Amino acid sequence: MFGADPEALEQEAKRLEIAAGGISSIDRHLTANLHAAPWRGRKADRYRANWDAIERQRLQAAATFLRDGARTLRQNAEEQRRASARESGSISGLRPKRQPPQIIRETRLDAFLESHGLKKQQGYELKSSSLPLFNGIPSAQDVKQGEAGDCYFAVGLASIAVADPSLIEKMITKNSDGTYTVTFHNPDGSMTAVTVDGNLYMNKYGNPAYGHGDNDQWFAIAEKAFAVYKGGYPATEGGCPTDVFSLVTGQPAHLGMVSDLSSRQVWDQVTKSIDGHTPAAAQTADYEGFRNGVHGDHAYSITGYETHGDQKIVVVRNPWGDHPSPNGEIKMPLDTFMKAFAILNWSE
Amino acid sequence: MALPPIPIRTLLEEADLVIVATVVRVIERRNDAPISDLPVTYSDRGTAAGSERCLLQIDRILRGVEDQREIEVLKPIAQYTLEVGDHGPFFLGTTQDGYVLLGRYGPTIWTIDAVAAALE
Repeated sequence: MFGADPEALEQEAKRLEIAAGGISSIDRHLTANLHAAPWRGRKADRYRANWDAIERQRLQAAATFLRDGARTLRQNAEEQRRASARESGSISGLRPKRQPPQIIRETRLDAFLESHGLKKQQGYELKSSSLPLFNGIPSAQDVKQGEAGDCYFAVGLASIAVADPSLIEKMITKNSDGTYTVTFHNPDGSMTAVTVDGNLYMNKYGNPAYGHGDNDQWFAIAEKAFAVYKGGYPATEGGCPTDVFSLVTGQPAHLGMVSDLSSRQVWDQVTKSIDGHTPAAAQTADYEGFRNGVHGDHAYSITGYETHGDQKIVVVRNPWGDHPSPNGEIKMPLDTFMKAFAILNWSE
Repeated sequence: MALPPIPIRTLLEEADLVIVATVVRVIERRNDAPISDLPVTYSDRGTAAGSERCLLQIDRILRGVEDQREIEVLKPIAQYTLEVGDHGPFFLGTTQDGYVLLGRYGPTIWTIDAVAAALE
């Protein structure tokens, strides 16, 4: 074999990015703890000054070194893909041939939770919903995150609904027995079809406990099937919109560290995604609370862009659905976007 | 973890005291928040700030009774940190150890007007 396996290079690049992010995370935690520590006096001041001026710089340099390595690997992967495409004479050379769809798991959430010993949260009750699966064309506004820590899943689906609502409609099928089948694309090219009923968990105040929409239930059904796919609602906690893009579209998806990109590159990717009707999202860094109007450890859909003279505006949407604005959207100048977000996600 | 804020009406069901107050002192800040082992490229990793004991100066009581002008409260492990000067509505529950702050976020997540309207 000549050349390289682009998928393997991408995987290595992702590992390097994760390691770089880990160093940055350690840097932030250590620095915050050092400055908050109850240690006063000249020695403490000197140590903190040395930390900020020298030790932190070393950590940041190590993170940069790893990110540079990841960028190089991605470039090599891209060159290899182009070379393979030239050799095969068609764009189909870009992806391994997909296996035929097959149902590899079919279950109901209730039975699944029972068999896996996952207890219902206290006070939660399963109830049927009178809402239709779809109420018109699926949109981002149908997506409201609930009590599961799966903002990335909500964001992934909301972004896809903005880019190409037909993908959402194709993903979920209503069966003749009233159940729903949700089909996911696995990373290995196979597909998983998960069948769930329409009962949803309500909290003790009678409100939907997990993800939901106000006028339809496609997001709630998709999230329920995703919970089965992952092994229960708690198992859905923590993830990346990029993975959800591929899970639904079956297409390659990418992430880039905003710190590694110029504002022009970010703007070009945002406009390319919106104009090309492909999903895009952004993730904040790992901090508590709000900065630049967005929450840490959180993901946002990119739902549009605007230009006002020289000013470039990126429109993002919080998957909470009604915060900070009634529709969850924030119009953010590009320079604020660059400060607010750590990771950009996009799909082909 | 960035879960949606708990609705005002749910907080009101749980709260024993609802006040408008200002943080005047952070008495203790603990390093007791769990550290996530999920990849840093993930969102909803479970990031949280450690618990704090703070002194609140009550500006206005919206519901409940409290004779003291300043009260000590526990901010549990949560997705926010309280700083001196933070101001806004606080929802408080009571435990045998005293007041504990309710809700996932700090006093800026709901406006005073929104809380007052929900109380009417």
